[in-house]
Amino acid sequence: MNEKDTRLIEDYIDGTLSQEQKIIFEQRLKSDKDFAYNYDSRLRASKLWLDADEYKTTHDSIRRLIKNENRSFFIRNRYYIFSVAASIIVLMGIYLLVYDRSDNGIKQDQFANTNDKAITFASDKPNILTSIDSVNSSTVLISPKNGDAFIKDSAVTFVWSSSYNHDDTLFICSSLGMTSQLKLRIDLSDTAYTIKYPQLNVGKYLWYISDSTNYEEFNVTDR
Amino acid sequence: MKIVVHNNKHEDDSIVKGILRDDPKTIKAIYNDQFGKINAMVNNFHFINIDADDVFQEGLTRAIINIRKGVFKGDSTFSTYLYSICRNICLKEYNRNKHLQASELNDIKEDLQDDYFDEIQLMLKLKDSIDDKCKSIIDLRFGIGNSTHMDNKIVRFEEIAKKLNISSDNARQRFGRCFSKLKELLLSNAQFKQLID
Repeated sequence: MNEKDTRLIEDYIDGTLSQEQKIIFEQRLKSDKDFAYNYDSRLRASKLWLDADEYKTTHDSIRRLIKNENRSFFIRNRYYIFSVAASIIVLMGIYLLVYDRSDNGIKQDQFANTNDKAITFASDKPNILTSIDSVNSSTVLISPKNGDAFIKDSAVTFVWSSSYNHDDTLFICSSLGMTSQLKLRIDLSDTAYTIKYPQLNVGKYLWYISDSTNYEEFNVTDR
Repeated sequence: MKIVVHNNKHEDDSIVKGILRDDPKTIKAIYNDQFGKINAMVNNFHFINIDADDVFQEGLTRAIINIRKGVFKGDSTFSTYLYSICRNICLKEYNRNKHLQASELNDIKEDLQDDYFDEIQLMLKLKDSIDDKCKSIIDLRFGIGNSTHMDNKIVRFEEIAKKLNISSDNARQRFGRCFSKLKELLLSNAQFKQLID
């Protein structure tokens, strides 16, 4: 389309053509297909331009309103949201408090069978787990037994047999009230442990390795 | 004041009136009442990567434009109307990949031709592709920015010339050059040709 026709179309749209020019223009629209196509495409493009602007303006306004609405949801419900958050914090605090107290309450020894594949401790804090002793009823106490006597301050040799070879604890107790006099760390695979200077008073004693139900007795005498 | 959107004629009338006077409260009420349903519908389209917010915003924009243009006559409730438009947007997106049968698309009687909104999207893309000087003189000629979008008027070249401090002929030439470029881009666009054929 030439510049003259472009100008003519714009003048027609502006309404600046004289009555005579307007009639000629409208007749040409009917007779000249190319001219009519150019005029139609001019109108179509301008309508689309305007509609696109309206679409964009409307869409942007909706987006902005929805964004503000979402934001205002948090503002509107901020007390509710804060109170829920505060409740969660308080509940967690109470839980931790109760949990810690229950931890502190567990002072007694805990037992498990060595045959068990898994052991669950009621309190699983390694920092307060001072020692682990196995309770091994399959260990056989050989000597001393059945009240064997030892002279005070002389060496005593404890002999056992065991199929295990890990560290364990040998207890020597006064038979009166089962009060522990000595705790000795032993290696079960050693099968014997000698105390050169036991410093045990005259009296009746019993000894066992971890399992207090499997014990043997011995005596310490003056002579 | 809180506006609650219910599915009845009386409430629909107030929605249409609210939309026609660009009432933000009406838009917020529509969002609060309808978004959940649209969101659930969009999430049922497992095979398309489309965001429910985008679908809702586009669907509501279309519904509002249809109301402004008097296309929506209230034969269905506004809720059903908006839902159908949003569903069609999803189906069309799905169709882009899956070649859905045309008959499967919802037949919404009170909608502008769906393709028209595609033409608008295309025009928005073209608008972004032309330079700012061209964009501003076309906007000036169509009265964009002068008044509300509802009553744009053709602005004469003498007025444009005064605003830009150039001669009237210069304004006319600049507009003619820019608009011809835009038409050329539009008419040579394969997608546009497909839409108007």
